[in-house]
Amino acid sequence: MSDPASHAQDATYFHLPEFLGGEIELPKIPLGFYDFQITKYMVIEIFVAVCLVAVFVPLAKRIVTGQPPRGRFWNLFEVFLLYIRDQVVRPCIDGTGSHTTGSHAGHKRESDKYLPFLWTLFFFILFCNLFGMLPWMGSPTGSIAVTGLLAVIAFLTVTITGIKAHGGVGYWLGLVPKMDLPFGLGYILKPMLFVIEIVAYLIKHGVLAIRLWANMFAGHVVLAVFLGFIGAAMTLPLLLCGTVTGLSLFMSVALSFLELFVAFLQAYIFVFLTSLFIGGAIHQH
Amino acid sequence: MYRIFLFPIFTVALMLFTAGQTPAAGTDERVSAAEPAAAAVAEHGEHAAASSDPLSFDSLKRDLAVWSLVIFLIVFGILAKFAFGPIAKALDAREQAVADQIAAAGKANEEAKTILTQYHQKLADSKDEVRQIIETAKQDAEKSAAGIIAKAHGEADILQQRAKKEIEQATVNALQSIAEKSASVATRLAGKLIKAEVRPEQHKDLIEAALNDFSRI
Repeated sequence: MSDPASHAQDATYFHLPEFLGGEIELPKIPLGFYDFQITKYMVIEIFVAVCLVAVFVPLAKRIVTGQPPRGRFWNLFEVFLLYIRDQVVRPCIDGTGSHTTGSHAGHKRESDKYLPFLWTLFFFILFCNLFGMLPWMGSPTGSIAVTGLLAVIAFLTVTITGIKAHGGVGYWLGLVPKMDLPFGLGYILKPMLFVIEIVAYLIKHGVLAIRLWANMFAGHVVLAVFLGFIGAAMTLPLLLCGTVTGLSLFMSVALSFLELFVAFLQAYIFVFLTSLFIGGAIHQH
Repeated sequence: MYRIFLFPIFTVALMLFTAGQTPAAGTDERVSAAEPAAAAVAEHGEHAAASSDPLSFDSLKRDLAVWSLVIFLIVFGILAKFAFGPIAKALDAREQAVADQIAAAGKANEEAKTILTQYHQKLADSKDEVRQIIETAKQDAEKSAAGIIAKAHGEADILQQRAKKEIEQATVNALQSIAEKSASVATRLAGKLIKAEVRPEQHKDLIEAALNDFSRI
């Protein structure tokens, strides 16, 4: 049995069935100073980008007419958009409830300028996660390079938002909570708290990357392990081989449903926490 | 609006570009580092597979990070410009329109309630008015009927009086005629009895005298 982790990692080839061309090697792009290797996840990210544009640009054309979208497909995506806006972004950044009509309708909110970014983040992660559920594809979010990049973008967005809101010094000093300390004690405790807060600040953004990556990577590794049992059982007696195959298939299907749920959950958590961090940067303590 | 994201994106791009700028030897290192993994994955033959350590940040991952940044940047740019920007505005506009429609509907409802109240009031007023009109008409009719009856009674009384007078006159005339005839007959009879001739003038005087006597009777 091969290393199951290798099935859940990036590769320089696509492993397709023979009738679809077998293994397709991906090229290197010579940049003169550097040979840029195209990988499977890079190609999948292009698919993701195309899917995102193919879904949301036509949806935008429908919504800007002012008419409610018709059909389950378009309604599904509008529901996602509204859920992220009303249940995640606005409560986390503005601190307001989900009600959008009435006195709030038409009112400019702080969260409005982050909506396109957070929507893009959510759907980019979601589609990357879901591509892992397709045969012969993979989840780019199963690579720490992708989740790390997304976490760095979130970190810089949060930090710049905070600096814009409170100023360069004010934002960093504001990380330390306000405390009524006896004279002198503040000079000892506050620098210590500042260091702790800075470390916590870095860790909580780093955990964004680790959480998403670990969930997607582990899910696919477990699926690969269960499917690998079938190959390993081929040398066993027929009855035992059939039992192992049946159980492995059952577990793979069950775990695929779990993976489907995790794909949505992790995209939601990433965007929820990013929104929360942005909200925390704007409204410090 | 999106300027806020330019700095983080370019910072990340710079970081990744710097990280990715390994010399050509780095490529060889990558291949050599990948070889054990490729050997471990027998069915993949000579492919330059990713490192078996998923947390190692090798050159493949650096390339992937740079690529992901570019893809994310392009997707964000396109979606912000052509999808999410217009969608956010359109959803707000739709919500505003819905809120306006709800407010207008509420206002219309209030107006309708006011109109309904006025209508009910008018209906109640008109019922009273109708009742009053009927009452007035009834009273008028009763008055008219009473007037007509009174007038009829008056006319009947007049007619009755007139008839009585006429009857009385007729009675007087009849009696007078009877008296005249009786007197004439009596005179004639008396003349016959006394065999005396009475002249017409005497005859007339006798009749008038007899009538006067008769009327006194």
